[in-house]
Amino acid sequence: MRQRGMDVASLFAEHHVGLVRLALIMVGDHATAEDVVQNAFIRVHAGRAKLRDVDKALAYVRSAVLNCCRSVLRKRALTFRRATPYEPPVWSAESAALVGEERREVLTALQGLPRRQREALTLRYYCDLADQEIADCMGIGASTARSTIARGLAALARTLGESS
Amino acid sequence: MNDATSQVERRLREALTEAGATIDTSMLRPLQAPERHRRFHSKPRLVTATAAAAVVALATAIILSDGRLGGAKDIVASSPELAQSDKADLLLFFCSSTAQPQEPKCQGRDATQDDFRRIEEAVWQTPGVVDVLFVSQALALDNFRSDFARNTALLRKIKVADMQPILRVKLAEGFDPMQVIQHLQATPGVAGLHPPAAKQTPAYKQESSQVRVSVCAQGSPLPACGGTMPSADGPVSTDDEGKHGKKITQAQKNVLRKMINSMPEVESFVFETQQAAYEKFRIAYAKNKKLLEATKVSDMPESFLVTLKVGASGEEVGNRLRQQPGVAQVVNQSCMFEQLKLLIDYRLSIPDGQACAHL
Repeated sequence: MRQRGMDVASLFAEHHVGLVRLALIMVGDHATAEDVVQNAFIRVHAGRAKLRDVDKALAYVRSAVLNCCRSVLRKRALTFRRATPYEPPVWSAESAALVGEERREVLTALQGLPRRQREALTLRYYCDLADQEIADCMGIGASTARSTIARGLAALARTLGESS
Repeated sequence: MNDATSQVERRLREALTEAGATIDTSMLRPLQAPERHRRFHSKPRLVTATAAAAVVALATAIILSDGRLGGAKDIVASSPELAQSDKADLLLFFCSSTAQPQEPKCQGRDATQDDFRRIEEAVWQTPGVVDVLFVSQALALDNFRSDFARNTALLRKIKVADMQPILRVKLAEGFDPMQVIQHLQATPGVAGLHPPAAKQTPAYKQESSQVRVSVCAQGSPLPACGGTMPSADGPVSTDDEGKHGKKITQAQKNVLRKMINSMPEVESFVFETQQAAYEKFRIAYAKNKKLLEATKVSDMPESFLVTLKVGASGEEVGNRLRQQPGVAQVVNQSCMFEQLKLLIDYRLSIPDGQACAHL
């Protein structure tokens, strides 16, 4: 039933929800998160002939999602830079209402971290990926991934320690 | 230092899980096919090749998804209806060597890729089956985290390896699941097959926020009423072995009613008479004639059905009420349903304290 070769449709069926959740954490609102994942799948679909290793398909889609999140955030930052002093993306009221105060504090602190640390922490603590998988996804080395996580965690502890 | 780090790790993990769980899976849009690649228009030589590739790609995508997508041409794939486990009529669990408790007929082995394919095909060919969705261990964990997002103790404990790969099966309207179960049960590689919790307990939604406080009936064998259980291996009979408990007195009942009424956690409560309980029982077991014949109205318990305010702890309220004289049994139904869901939808059996600490 499942053919060898990248089957975008079943990849979508299986991982769509999980990826939207990942994107939501990155960009902060549902609508954008969905758009990001749609975009990522469209890119993956376009580039599927180039992908040799089918087992890496998921890592490939994940990094496409991360890439799209990055461009969304970059565009947002640009708009804000022109209008007002740049603020990290704010959680939409809708998502924020559903998440408790204590959690929101953690998420705000996470949003304040540098991009790479934020991504690495999310992939580790939300997606439960191993160092190597995180590295594949972000296009960095495994040891870099490990040290980025450690640094991110320390920074997070500092921010949370100050505010509580 | 190390302790502080793990504290931050825990908080981060919980915050992310909860944020991720705010996605409503039923609202997600399907995947649309890309529009023509406009960026290639400036390079005329590439246009034909790209367009041809896009057509082929689109065609393959539609064929691969089993033609289920029918008329909507620009939809390449959709998050299927079966993305919600409640929509399935049957859950088929594959063998997994890491699942606890182990299913004896799996003999400690994992279902192989071959098994997955063979069983999925067998399911498709079973009469009555209209749709099938494969859920990998990773995806099952994702669903699990969303279902139990508020139960942080449990989330920390359960790992991917505890999940079993599942096939969610949708049957034709009105088709009896038992036939399908009998047909597929013995297939090698299948650990178990049954309807999801939401289909097995229709009262799930309406009663899940209630605490049921049953009071002592005349002759109750429960120790809380002063009775003793007849010995387990003796013949089951109400009138030989065991000491009989006492019925709750009117005064005790009044005290209990006042107490429930004054609890700040209580939203509302109703008193369910034996007759009302029997009506419910009769509807729930309408198919089981023998059981109905053997059961009298007087066998039913009288109970207070207490609805709690959102966020109140049923365990705590239950513990206070359990100590009152004349109370036979307190069942925290949200806890019971939570455990049922764990057991039925994920085949996880978790001790009481861990499954419901937050409820």
